[in-house]
Amino acid sequence: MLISRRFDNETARLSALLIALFALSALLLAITVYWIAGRGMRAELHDFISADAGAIASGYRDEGLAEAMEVVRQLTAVPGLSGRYLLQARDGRKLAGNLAAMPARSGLFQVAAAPPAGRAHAARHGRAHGHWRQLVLGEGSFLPDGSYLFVGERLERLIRTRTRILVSLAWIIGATVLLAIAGGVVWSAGFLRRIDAITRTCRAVVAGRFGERIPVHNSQAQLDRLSATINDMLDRLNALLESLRQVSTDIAHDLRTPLTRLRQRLETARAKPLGAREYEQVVERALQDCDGILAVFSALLRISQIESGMRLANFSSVDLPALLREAAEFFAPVAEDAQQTLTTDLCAPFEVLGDRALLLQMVSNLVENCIRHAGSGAAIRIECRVSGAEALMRIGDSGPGIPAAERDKVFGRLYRLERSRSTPGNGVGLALVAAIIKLHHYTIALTDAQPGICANIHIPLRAEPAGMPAGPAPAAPPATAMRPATATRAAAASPPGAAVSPIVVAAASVAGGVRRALMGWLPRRARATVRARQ
Amino acid sequence: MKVLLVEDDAETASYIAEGFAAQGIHIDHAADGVAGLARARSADHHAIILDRLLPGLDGLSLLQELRRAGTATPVLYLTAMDGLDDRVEGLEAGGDDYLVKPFHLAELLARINALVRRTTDAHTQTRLRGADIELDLIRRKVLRSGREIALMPQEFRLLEYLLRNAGSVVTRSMLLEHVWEIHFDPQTSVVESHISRLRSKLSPGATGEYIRTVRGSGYMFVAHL
Repeated sequence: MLISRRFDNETARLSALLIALFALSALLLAITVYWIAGRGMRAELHDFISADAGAIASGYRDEGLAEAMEVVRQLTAVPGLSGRYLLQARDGRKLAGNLAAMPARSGLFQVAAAPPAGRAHAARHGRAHGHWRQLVLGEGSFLPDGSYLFVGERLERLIRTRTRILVSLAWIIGATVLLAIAGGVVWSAGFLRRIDAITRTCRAVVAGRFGERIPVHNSQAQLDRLSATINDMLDRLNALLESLRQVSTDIAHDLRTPLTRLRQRLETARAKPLGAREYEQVVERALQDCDGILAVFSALLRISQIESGMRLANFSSVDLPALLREAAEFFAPVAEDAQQTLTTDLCAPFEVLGDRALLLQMVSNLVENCIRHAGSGAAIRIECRVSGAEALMRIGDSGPGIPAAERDKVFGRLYRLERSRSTPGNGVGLALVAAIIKLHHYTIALTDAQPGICANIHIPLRAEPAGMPAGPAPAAPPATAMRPATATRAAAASPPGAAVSPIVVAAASVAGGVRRALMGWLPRRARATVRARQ
Repeated sequence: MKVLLVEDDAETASYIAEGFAAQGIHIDHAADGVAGLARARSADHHAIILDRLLPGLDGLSLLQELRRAGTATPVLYLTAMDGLDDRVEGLEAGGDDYLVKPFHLAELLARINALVRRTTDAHTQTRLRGADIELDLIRRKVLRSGREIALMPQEFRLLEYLLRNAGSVVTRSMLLEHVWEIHFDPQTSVVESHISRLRSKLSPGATGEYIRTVRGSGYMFVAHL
């Protein structure tokens, strides 16, 4: 399945592109979240640091260094605290706090601080796992008497939280990619199955099974519309093929007879000793036979040409009553010569959309049929009237008529009533009428005129949309024609939507995760503030 | 009279050449489109018979080329392409008449005669005459030896066409095309009926026939009784 594999590659490529886009957008989102969270947490830390430093400084301001040392002692007494404090004298001697003495330096900075005494386990643990656990972010300042105050917060929680955020973002990106892959696989499998169905059907048709059609699910998706269009095309081709097959059959069936007759006549002439006059007769008859054969041949070709719908381009407005009057005037003398009367009963002029030459031929064939078969003394009538949304055209005679059982058959090709085999005619006249009727989307019914036969042609007057009537393959009404456009818009909108939603979900979960992480991370006393701020 | 025949089928060409020679018409034959175009430009022909499917240069392009160059020689297509639109296409390209193969030699002869006559005959004349019949195109009146004959519009058009081609044969299909604009073969003898009506109106006494039936070909208005 070369086609299928190529297509597979194509979908794989598209899926990969989609996945890459998903991953990239998730990554961008992760970076943003990580950065914002980091900044936010650092700002919070800074707030705590400022508050504590403020408290110590105000203690000093109010009651001197001893009070400042007392505040530091109180602060360090809180169990499980994350604050780190150092108050050292001007000479670098540590006065209070849970940090070792260090070189005095003002401003916000980060230091790797040794754990406070009595925390050997944490220190060991921290050292074993790297020095990040000891990192402290703090602010150094000098009290008015020159003693140095450093207030800091351990960065361990912040780093942990950031790591947690990173890990969860990695999970989300992984899940997104997995979802995209799974979606791509499912989607392309479904798509490929449909494409394979189309390929299979087309192959079947190529192999000669013209009845095969692509299964269509009643949706307006592109693939369904494609399938439906291919099916319509196959229907149309099938109809053309049928008509071609019919022509071949007809030619084989009905031209063989006169050709055989012609051959026999020539053979007989060759076998028998004939005089010049008789030879002349034989040649004359042979020429007549040839002309007859050629007439049938070109009529059959014309029928198939009409049936193929190629004449639609010649449609224009035709004044039907005027056309009928013209035909009546044209045939009046020949009807009179056959001792028949030809009368018309026509309504006011109105126009139909059609091929004038073909409509004239249709009317002529019907009128000539009456003249030829109604017999002498018959009355031939041509009528036309409009009633509501349709026009009715009637062409009939008072002749022997057509038996009810045979009325449908007369429109088939080369069909001739048994009794009319003796009269001239090639049997394609009414088949041509039927083809012209079909091309114009008219309907014809033969009724008993008691006596005689009448052809009733119903002409819809309003159905034709501007320019062209529907061809043999019925054109979709405007309402259905509109729908695919809407469907296209909807379908075009959905893939981006589908691509966006996992990112939205990821963003929401990341946001939730960040909030949870922040809640866990913040010192207990600050939670109320955070909640209040939310 | 000299007629250029551009036809790639040798048998058809010699059939036409022989038939035309019997009528005293010389056929100048070119077997492909390029030679046909060169011949049509260099020599002076009364008419051109042109096949549509030709090796080298197809008939339609040949004619378009010829018309662009300003040659006004009447052209008749002789072709197996009998699609309903092929005729229109051919005539729009500058053709003057269209005959579908297989054809009767008499039909081709009659049509060529009519084409040549049409170009020599000024179409501006207001009166047509044949024998003692006179047709006034402006007043739409027909006079026989000065006495008016009442004709129906169809009959007038029929007589007009016959008179324009007085002295030469016009075929049934030529009449159908020019008088009624019908391009198919009726299954009844409708043309015969019209002719016989016209005959009886023109000469009720049946002293002599103005319109002669030419067996196997068509009809001819006899210019001099």
